[in-house]
Amino acid sequence: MITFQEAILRLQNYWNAQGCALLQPIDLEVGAGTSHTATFLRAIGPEPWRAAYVQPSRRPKDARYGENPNRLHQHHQYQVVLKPSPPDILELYLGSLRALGIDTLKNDIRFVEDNWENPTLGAWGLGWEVWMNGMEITQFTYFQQVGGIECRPITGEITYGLERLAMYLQDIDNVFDLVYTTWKDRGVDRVLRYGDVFHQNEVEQSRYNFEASDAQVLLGQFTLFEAEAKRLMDLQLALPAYEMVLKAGHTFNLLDARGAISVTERAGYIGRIRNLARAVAQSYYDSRERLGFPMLDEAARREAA
Amino acid sequence: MTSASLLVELNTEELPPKALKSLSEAFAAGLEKGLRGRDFLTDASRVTAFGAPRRLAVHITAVESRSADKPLRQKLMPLAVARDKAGQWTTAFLKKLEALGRAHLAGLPLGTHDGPDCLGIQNDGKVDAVFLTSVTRGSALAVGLQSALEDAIEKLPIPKVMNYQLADGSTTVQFVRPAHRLVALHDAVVVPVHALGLQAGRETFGHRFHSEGPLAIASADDYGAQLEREGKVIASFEARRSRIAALVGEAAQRLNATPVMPEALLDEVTALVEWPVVYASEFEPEFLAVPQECLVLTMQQNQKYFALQDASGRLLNRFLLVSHLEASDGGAAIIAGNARVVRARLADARFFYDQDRKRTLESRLPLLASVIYHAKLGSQLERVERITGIAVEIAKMLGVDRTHVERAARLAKADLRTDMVGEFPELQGLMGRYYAQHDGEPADVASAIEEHYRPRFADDALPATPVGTCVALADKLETLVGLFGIGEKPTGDKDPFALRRHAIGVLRMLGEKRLPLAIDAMLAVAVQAFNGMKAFKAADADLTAFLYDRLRGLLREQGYSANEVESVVSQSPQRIDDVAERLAAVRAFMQLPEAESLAAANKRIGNILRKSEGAAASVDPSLLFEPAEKALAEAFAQAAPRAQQRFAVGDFAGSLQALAPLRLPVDKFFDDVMVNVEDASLRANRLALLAQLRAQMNRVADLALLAAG
Repeated sequence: MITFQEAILRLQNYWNAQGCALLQPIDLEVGAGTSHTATFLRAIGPEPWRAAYVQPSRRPKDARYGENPNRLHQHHQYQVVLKPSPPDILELYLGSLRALGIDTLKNDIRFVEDNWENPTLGAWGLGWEVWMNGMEITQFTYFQQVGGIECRPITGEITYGLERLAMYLQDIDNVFDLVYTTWKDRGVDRVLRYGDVFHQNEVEQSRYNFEASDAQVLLGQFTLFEAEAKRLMDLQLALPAYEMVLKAGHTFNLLDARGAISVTERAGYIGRIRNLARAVAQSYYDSRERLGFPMLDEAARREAA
Repeated sequence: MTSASLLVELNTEELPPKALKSLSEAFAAGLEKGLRGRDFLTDASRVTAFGAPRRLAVHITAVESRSADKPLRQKLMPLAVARDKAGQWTTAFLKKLEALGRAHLAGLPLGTHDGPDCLGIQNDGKVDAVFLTSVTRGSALAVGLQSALEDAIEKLPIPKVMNYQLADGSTTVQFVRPAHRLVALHDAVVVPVHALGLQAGRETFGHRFHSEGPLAIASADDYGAQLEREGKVIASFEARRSRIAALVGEAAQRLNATPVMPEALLDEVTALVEWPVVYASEFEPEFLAVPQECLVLTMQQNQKYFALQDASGRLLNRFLLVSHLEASDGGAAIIAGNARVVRARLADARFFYDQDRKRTLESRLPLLASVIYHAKLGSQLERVERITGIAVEIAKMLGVDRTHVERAARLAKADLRTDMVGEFPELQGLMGRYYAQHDGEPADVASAIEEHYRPRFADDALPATPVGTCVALADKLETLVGLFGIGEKPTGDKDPFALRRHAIGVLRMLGEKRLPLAIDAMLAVAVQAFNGMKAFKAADADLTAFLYDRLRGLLREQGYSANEVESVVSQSPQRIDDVAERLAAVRAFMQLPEAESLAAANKRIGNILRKSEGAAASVDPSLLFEPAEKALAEAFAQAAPRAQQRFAVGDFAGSLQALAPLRLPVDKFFDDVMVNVEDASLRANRLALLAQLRAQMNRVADLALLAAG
């Protein structure tokens, strides 16, 4: 049996062999691996990039007090980005499934059209959700636009849902029963389960999201983060400004989960975050351009100029 | 020059299933058109389109390897301009020849051939002119196919175009999804064309998992068979679709069941697999406690499964899935995996169903206040209040139980705030009915909640209950009157609020259910509901015209001729329930020997009345003195009461028939009597007689429109 962490290790090994920088998660609250600077910002502009990392992803609205076997306040994504996307990217992806011990002659793997759009990030792409025996295990996207900027070259993004994949590999119906790891303690086999690691967090974060968060405080924070993002962009500090945008985004998600945002207000907030994301994307592009796109090789730089 | 089959295939990453069929057909049609236009096809050429998740292909028989040379004759210039008085070629003419690359022809005597080229003088119909006869050389298939391929790709109906880079990492290509191979074979020979950065060859890829490495296609005619044999791919969309339908049918039969097989699902599944293999799986029978429609929708929409029913139409806890793998374990992992997924999905559906039933529909009404219906027309709750008001008025007019209509209208939209409808919007109305039953609402109230959305599409059933009919009418009238009232009328082919469908729904209910409701009265009731709304301004005239236009369309579809329809609709009938009788009467009338003559007379009367003013209010018998007008007045006095009496009891055919005896007196009147005479009082009296006559004749339909010519 493959433990939760072994699944991650196998993916790390596999993508290490494909020349990806194995990065760490972004140390801020985000809803998806896409929000990591290693994806969102690196997808912008002409410079090549290959990275892979685990990203704890918070979805306040999906919190279920640890009582639902499939839904979590925080799940984990394994994110791979390849830029420019190589022609054999789908084969590379299928190779990673085989590395996880998935037999593609026993399991029905299908690429089912699913075009991705994130209005708050001003981003969209075309691609598929990957089905294994009817279950979505991966989101695959060819980025077309990020922060309102056309992508050139295109980044291929592979996002594995780690819990789902592991539940499948371990043949388990309740996420909290997943085997995180095993060890021997003075000759006795011991098991650490997913629930041992995360259940209390699910319960408490759910209470926070739905009962204990203070809408007034959050509203104040949202306004503050928004203002800071703008101020930092004026100072040409693209990366700190981007972090403020992420904080504003997460604050919005908390407000939304709390039910503090009406249907009509919702569109307004999303518009405000989108405007920030666009501005920060441009700001990042400009900053790389000022540096002369240092990661381009000579020939490519001449072409880009 | 040889004629043989041509095969062109674009091998791609998985294409969008909803667009696959149209992409495949457009690709085939585009290539056919391009090759035909370039003279590579013959009458014997047959085109076959192939479309599978990873490929678009076209096979065309009898394609020429070269297009034929074609004789060409072109007028160069009038002789008077080409030659000077001395009989020498002018500079202008020499320049022209040079531009055509045929300067040397100037030195040859006229009529002398240099290869196919030859200059000559002929009359162009006006003047003598110099002509060049020559030949346009045909081109090689590679040349023609190159342009045809470019055009075909350019014109593909791609829903969303994507950018991607070729292997060099920098050349950007635009297509549906990345393309990896291009095959172009004329018989067994590769046609050296290129597209999307790919050079044509004979190699393609077969099945993603059942075929390894590139597959070399031997010849154009072998394509389909070879792919199926060696590549485990059924490239033809239609063949794959029939195979799936057959496999699903057989698998269902083995389970003693009938598959639920909507066309759209069959199409979608066909576009998702290259090698269909059907497996049966199942879920726990407990889930059958959830309404069947929810289970079926979950299986179809989320998982693309075929649900199974028993002989009595009851849903079974088994389903069929279409995989694309002949799994090495016989399908054990696929069956178990899908069972696990559907369990989680159905658990969600059951959770929604259980949660939803914890609160009554009525308690959800206030939640509609926070759902915007339209920025200018307020919330869904305000809309519900308007619908309720309109429905109650209609109930009064139709003599339907007011309290039940009011209840049903009030609850009609409450299910929009349930979890189940949030997840599956298509279940709106239906879930309302289930929840209303659970809440203990009266049976006709529960039914009406579901029925009020009907008819949802052309040929959909109408509401079955009177309560449902009142609410359905109110819902549609509110939509029409409200959106017309804020200027959201459909324009051209833009009809974002489906107002045409709403209007047709209203007309169908009035007509097919024979509801004795007058259009003006209904609209007045609906307009009343918008009282005090700032942005609203009643647009009755526009809306009435819109309704009559839809009525015209509906009646034409039912097989009535344009004239028949117009004769009735032009009279702006207030009641739609008797339009069918009017049309039947018109048809019966047209069978009468007197019909043609009366229709012509009617038209003539109409023309006279249109041009003349000053008809008297009524006919004064003392002013009638011509025998023919006396006779007509007399005949009318006899026929009219009977016509009116038949009309009053709704016997439109009888009413028209009663006018038949007027034919002779009318014809005689026009033969003998002059209407527009000097004497004003005589003229006014005659006009009055004609006006009276016409009014009576046209109570059922405008007979003038039935006149020949």
